[in-house]
Amino acid sequence: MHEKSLTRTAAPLTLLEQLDARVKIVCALSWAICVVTIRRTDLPLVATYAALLAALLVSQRRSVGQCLRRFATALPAIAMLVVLLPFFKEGTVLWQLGPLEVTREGLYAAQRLATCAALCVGVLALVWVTTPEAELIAGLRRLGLPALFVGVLAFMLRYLHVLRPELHRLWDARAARTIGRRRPPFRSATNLLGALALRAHGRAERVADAMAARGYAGQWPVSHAHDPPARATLAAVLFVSVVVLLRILL
Amino acid sequence: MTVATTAPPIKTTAAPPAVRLQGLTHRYPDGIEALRGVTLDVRAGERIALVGPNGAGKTTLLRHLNGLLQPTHGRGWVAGLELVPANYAEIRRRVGFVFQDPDDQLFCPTVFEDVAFGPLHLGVTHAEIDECVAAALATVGLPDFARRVPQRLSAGEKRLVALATVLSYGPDLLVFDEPSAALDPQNRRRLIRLLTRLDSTQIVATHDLDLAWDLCDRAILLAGGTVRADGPTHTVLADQSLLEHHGLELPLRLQGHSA
Amino acid sequence: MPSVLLLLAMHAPDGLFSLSVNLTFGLVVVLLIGRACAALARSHDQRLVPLMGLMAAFVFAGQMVNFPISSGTTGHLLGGTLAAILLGPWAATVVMAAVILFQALLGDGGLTALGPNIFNMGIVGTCLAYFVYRVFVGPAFHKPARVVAASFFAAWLSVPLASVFVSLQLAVSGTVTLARALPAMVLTHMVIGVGEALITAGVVAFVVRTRPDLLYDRPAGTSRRVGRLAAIVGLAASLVVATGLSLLPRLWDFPDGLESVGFQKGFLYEEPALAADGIVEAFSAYPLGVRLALHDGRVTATQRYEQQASPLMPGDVIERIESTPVTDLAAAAQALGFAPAENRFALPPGQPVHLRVARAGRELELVFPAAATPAAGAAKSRFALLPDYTVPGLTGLLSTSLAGAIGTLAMFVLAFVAGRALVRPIAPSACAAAHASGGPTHA
Repeated sequence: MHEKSLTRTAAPLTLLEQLDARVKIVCALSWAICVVTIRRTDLPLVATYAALLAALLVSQRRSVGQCLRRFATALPAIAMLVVLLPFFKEGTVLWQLGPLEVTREGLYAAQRLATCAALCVGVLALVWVTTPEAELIAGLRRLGLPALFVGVLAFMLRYLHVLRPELHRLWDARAARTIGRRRPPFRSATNLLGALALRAHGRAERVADAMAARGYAGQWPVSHAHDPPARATLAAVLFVSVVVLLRILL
Repeated sequence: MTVATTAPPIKTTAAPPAVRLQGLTHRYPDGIEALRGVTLDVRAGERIALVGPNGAGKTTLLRHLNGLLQPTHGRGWVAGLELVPANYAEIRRRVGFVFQDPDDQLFCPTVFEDVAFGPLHLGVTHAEIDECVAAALATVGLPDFARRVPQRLSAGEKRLVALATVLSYGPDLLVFDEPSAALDPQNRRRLIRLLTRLDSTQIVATHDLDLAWDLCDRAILLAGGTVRADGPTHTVLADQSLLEHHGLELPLRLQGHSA
Repeated sequence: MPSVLLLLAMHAPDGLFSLSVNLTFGLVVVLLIGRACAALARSHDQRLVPLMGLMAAFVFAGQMVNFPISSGTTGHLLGGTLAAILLGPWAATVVMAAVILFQALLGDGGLTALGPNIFNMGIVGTCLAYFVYRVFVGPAFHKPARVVAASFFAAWLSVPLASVFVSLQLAVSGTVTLARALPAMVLTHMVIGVGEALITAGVVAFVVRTRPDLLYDRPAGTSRRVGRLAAIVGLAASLVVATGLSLLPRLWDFPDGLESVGFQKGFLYEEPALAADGIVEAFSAYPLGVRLALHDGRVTATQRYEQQASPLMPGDVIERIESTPVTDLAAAAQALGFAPAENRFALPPGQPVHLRVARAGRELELVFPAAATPAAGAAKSRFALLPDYTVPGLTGLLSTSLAGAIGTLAMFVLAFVAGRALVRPIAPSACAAAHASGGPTHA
C-alpha cells in the first residue's frame, strides 16, 4: 500500500512531482467536482478528460507502473458497485434474471458511475504516487485544515507503519499458539484487536512523553514554507482552467 | 553491600551540579514505590551509567530529570533549576531525553521535522532551523538524511536520528534509556564512539554493562528504588558479588578473566 | 449480493451521489469537524493528538482484520463506535474523519463523496452510537457486563442507522429510489451490524478486563435512582427509535420473496382493509399493480409493483377509469369491476386500462395493461429483501410496530447475553458462546 519511492535523488523530478501538495490537492478536488457533474451523454468530454489523464500518467515516466498499480487496487470495489447498480435502479426492464431485473436506467447509471469513479481514482492515484506522505500532510496543513485534524492524520500515517507490523506479530503469535485449529475462535480475534488497542494506547503515551520531553506544549511547530516553483504553479492554474473550460464547453 | 551510599558532597563553586537529587521518592498511582529516597549528585561533564535489574527504578529516575514525572517526596535540581512544574520548560531545554524505542521519539513525517521539533519549541527561529538540523545530523554522521522518512530507516539509523533530535537544541545533559537495545555490534560500537566524542553530561540507563564499561566513568547501581552502589565504573562493575546479588553479571570482557 | 452493493455504499465512490448531496453533507461535516477540533483544542490536553492519531492508526489497521463470524462469513470493523467508546464522541469523529480521508486518498471512497462518507461512518457511527451507549450503560460503568452489552447494542444500531442515511443520500441523488434502497439497506445492515457489534463488544470486553481506565467514561458516582430512570428512558427511547426504523420499510411495502411465491401459486391474497362501517378503505389491486386507497375523498394510488412506460406513482390521484369518474373507492371498484368477495377484477389480464390521473397539479392520461389476477397465478412481483413483519391476529402498522419492538428487545437480550459471555474469563469451551447468535429477529 505504501510502496512508493521516497528517495528522490536519482532522476530529475517530473513537473507533477515538483508541484506543491496544496496545488495538487486543489487540482484533484476541482477535477473531481467537474467529473461528478458529467452526464452520461457527455462522451466527448469524457474522452477528453480520459486523454488528459492518460497524458499526465505518461508524463510520469518512472512511476507509471506505480500509478497503474494504485489505480488497479481501487478498482474491485468500484467494479462491484458498477455491476450491481443495474439490478437496483428502477426503470425499463431489459433482461430478467430470476427475481432480478436489469433496467436500462440502471445500466446508464452504472456507466456514469464507472466513468466518474475511474477518472477520479486515476487522478488520486497520480497525486498519491507523486506526493510523499510528509508533503501531503504539510499541504493539508497549509491549506488551512485544523491543526488538530492534520496532527491526527500525521500520527496516523506515521504509526500505521508501526502498528501494522505489531498486528502481524500478534497474529503470528496467536497462530503459533493455536496449532491445529483451522479456524481460530472469534474471541481470540477480538482479544488480538484489543491487545492492539492497548499497544496503540501505550505507544500514544510514550509518544506524548517524547513530545513533552522536547518542549511540546500543545502547539505544533509550523515548518517554514518552501514555495513551489512558479512554473509548476502556473502549470497547475492552467490545468484547472482547462479542466473547467472543457466542462463548460463540451 | 553498599560501596558508597552517597557521592561525596560537592562544593558549590562556580557551576551548580548538573543534577542533584535529595531523597527523591516516587510512588505511582497504583501504590508501587519505584524510587525510595534517592540522593545523588552529578558533576557537569560526567558520564554516568545507571545500572540495575529490571524494575529497579532506572526509567522512573530518568523521567524525573525531564519533568515527565514529579517527585512524590524529596527534591531535585537539574542545572541549578529545581524540579518543579514552573521550571519544566527551561529544564527540557537543558536536558535531552533519548527514549528506549526510537519509534516513540521519531513521531514526525520526516527526519527533518523530527530533528527540528525540539529547537522550534525551545525558541530557535525558522531562519536558524536549517543550520541547526544540518549540524545535528552531521554530528551523528547522517548528513543527507533530512528528507528521509523515519519508517524507512534501519534500527541503527533510527537510534542515531533519535540522538540527533535532542542534539539539535544543544542540551547540557543527555539522558539515555537503553541506548544499545536492538543494535547490532557495529552500530553499537558506532554509538559508543559518538557518545564518547560528545562533551555534554550523560546519564545512561542500561543493562549493557560492556557499554557502561566503555563509555562511563562512574556507575550507579540502583535496585529496589534505592542507590546500592555509586563509584567509578571499573570498581562497581568489577564487583562480582555485588552485581550477582542484584541480578546482574560481570561485563562480558571481565568474565573471560574470572573464568 | 445486494448487501455487498450496500456495504460498499458506505465507502461511496465519486459519482454515486449527486454534487448537491456531496456539497451539502460536505458543508455539514466541515462545520461539525471544525467544531469538534475547536472543542478538543480548548481542552488543552497535550496528550490528545498523539492518542487520537494512534487510535486512528489502530482503527485503520483494525479494519484490515477479517473476523470469522460463522461458517464462511467474515466481518470487518468500521470502528466508529469503538473509537467513540474509547475516546469520546468528538475525538472519535475527528479520528474517523482522518481515517476516511486517508482511505479516500488511497482510492477507497470518493474525494467528492467525503462529506456523505464521513457523515455516515464518522458522525452517525460515533456520535449517535455514543449517545445510545451512554443511555444504555446509565451510571453502571463499574459493571463490565453492562458496558460490553451497551457497546454491543450501540455498535449494532449504528450500522442500520448509517444505512438509513446512505439510502436517503442515494434517493436524493436520484441514484436509487428510496423505496428500493431503504428496505434493502436497513435489512442487510441489521445483519451486518451484528458483526460490527460482536467485534466492538469483544474488543471492549478485552479492554474492560485489562485496562478499564482506558474507556472514555470512568465510573461516576451517579445515584442509583437516576440510573434506573436513565435506563428506563433509554430503553423506551431505543424501542421508539427501533420501531420507527422497522416501520420505515413498511411505508414502501413490496411483497417479499415468500409472498411473491404465494401469489404465483395462487394461495396468497392481500385482504382489503375494511372500515368499521364495511366500506372498503383500500383494496388490493395486484392485477393492476396498484394499491388504491381513499384519501380526502379521492382515490389515490399508493403503490405499484410493475414497471411500465408511464407508471403510476405513489400519491397519484385517479380521477377517471375507463371514462368513469372516480370520486371514492366504491366508484373505483365499480369502474374496475372489482368483486370484493372474490378479491378479483373483471378485467382480463393484458387488457389496457385507461386512467386519467392528477400528478402534482398536472393531468396525465395513462394507459397500461392489467396484469394477471392473483388467482390466475401469474402475478409478477418485485423481489423484496425485507420480509414483512406480521404478528398473527394483528394487521398493518400495529403488527409491524410490535414486531419491530420485539426485534429490538431481542437485540437487547442478545446484547446482555453477549455482554455476560464476553466478560467471562476465556476458557476453551466458552469460545463458541460468543458467536452463537443470529441476525435480528423478525417474525
